[in-house]
Amino acid sequence: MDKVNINLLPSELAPKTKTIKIASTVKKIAVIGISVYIIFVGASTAAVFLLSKQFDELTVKENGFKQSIRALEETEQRLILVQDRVAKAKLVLGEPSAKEEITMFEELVFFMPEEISVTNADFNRDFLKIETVTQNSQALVEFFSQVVSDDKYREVILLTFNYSEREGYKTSFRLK
Amino acid sequence: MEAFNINSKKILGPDIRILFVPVVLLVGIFFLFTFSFKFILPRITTQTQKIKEVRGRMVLLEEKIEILREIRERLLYDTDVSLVAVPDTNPGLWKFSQIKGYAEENQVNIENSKVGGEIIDKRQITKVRYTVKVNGSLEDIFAYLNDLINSSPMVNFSSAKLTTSRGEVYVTFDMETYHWELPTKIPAITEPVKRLSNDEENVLSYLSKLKKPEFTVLEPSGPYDRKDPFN
Repeated sequence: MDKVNINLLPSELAPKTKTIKIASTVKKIAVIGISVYIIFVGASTAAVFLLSKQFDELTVKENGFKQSIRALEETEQRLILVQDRVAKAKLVLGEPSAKEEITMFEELVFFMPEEISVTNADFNRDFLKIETVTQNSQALVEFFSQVVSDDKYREVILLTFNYSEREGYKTSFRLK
Repeated sequence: MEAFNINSKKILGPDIRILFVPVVLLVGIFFLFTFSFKFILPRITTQTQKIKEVRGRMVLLEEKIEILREIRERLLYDTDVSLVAVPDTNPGLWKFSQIKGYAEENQVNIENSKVGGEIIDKRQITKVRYTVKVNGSLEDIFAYLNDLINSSPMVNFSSAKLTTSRGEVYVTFDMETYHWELPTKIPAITEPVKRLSNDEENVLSYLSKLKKPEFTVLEPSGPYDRKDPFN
């Protein structure tokens, strides 16, 4: 025998069909919401757990690296020392020096004719001053023409030029 | 109680009553979501951030280990070279032994030599000035000066004066040596280290070519036990 639903309630006490439908939809949404919420909470807890585990593993690895670096501490100290000393050496190399002038003089003496003698020389941080004496004017001309034509010297200044029968040709000049 | 139910039934219509439970459930879920988001999300974000930081530090540390292992062997030599070239204490003794030693090697006579006190300039550079007068042949004197220029500890020639008298050449020169205190701080373990730059390598190569002093450490001498005190 078929089951027949008989509503004996007065019609004003029963909810409207539309409201029943809305309530059913809201109920469905709530059920879906609860399911999503359970999944969300589960996934989040799993994520927090996995991330914590990963963090712990990485920290252990990091500590291992730190220990390796501690074992290499002496090397690090040496590196810092070398870098510090090199920086200081660069400062020394950057200091004004008469080193270039000394080299300049050596090169100059190399092609100086034998007849010319150097009597005095001043090596300064900025210039080289040389005093020479010779009896041979031709040698002096040759020497100066060579000095003037040399690209190494930025400046050649003849400071004095004297002649006396006893000493010969005395010159003083400045090179840069 | 029954009176209350009757009253509530009277107050809340059938429509509201049927909607009440699902709506309350929905609102509850909304609050649960909000609360959970507020609680869990920051934890995930913090943890992710921490992992990112650790990973960053690990990359740095790994690189640091690699660099230090790579340069460990050669640094032993470089440290000696650089520390002799730019020492931490007054290198006067070394330099004076070189001034005398090179003079003998190059057959140059030292007329007189003087060493000044330590001078600290504006840049905190500690200098020691030496004034030396030598005589000999021009060739020997310049070989001597070149030996000093290319010697370690580093020197800087500030001036020189050459004079001649009766065929003898005299050169008076002023030079300086430098020394600095050693660095006292080592960076934190997580600080990165830098490889030597090309510029630094060039300076090191220059320093390694400088002639080192014969001794860098003075050995203590005596008194020793005399086996035979009568001889």
